[in-house]
Amino acid sequence: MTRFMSVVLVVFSLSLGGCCSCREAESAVRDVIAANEGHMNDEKLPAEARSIAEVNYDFGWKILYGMAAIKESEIPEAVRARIKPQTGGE
Amino acid sequence: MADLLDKALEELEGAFEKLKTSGTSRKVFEEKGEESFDKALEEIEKFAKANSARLGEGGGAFVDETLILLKGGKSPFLKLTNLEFASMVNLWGNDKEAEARRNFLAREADFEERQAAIRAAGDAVYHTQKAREAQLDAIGEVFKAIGKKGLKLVAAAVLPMVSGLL
Repeated sequence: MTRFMSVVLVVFSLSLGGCCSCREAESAVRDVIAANEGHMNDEKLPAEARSIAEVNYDFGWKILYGMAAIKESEIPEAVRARIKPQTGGE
Repeated sequence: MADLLDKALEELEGAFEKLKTSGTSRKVFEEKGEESFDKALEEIEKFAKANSARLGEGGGAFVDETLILLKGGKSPFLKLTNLEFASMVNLWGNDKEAEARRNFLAREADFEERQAAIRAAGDAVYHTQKAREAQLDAIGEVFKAIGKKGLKLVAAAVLPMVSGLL
């Protein structure tokens, strides 16, 4: 029984650890989104750099959505408007 | 089952009190303070309750039993929990701080500060993965302690649970 519970504890710990990894990744992506928002609004930067920042900003939100950290409704309207509709494959 | 879970969480709190004085946890605790610790415990409680519900009727007893083992101070378990606790306090103790940092990055930071933040975010993900690898090593130690025979006995019972939890 002790051995069984040992493994159960490992599973419990793994699930906690997995949860932590996701939170850490989510936090990092949110930081990157914020930094890119700053780049996008920085009028001292060349337009090309701000455009790249916008792409990265949108990408960050897509990653958060992709990792199920947010619902679609939480993605800013402007980002959703820039997402091109899927055309589908052959 | 609710009583069992409450009791188990009390035990968990006791176990983490011990962790505050050891290794990585102590370092994090010194940096983040008592408030972060309480926040981490709240999150653990939510997490444990959610998983107990998934496990059904036996969930409370499961948490209770595992925490008794944890409290028993088996070294691989402590090592494992120590890493996770440090990681949790780092994450859940910092919501307000993180929000303030992001507001600063989006509205006030200069170009260099924003670039540094992007690099730091990447580094954080890298170091999390390194910690995860250390955690897996610790789990390996637990499996060694269990032995092949014990592992075979529990594998059939535990594998379905793994898919539910992870």
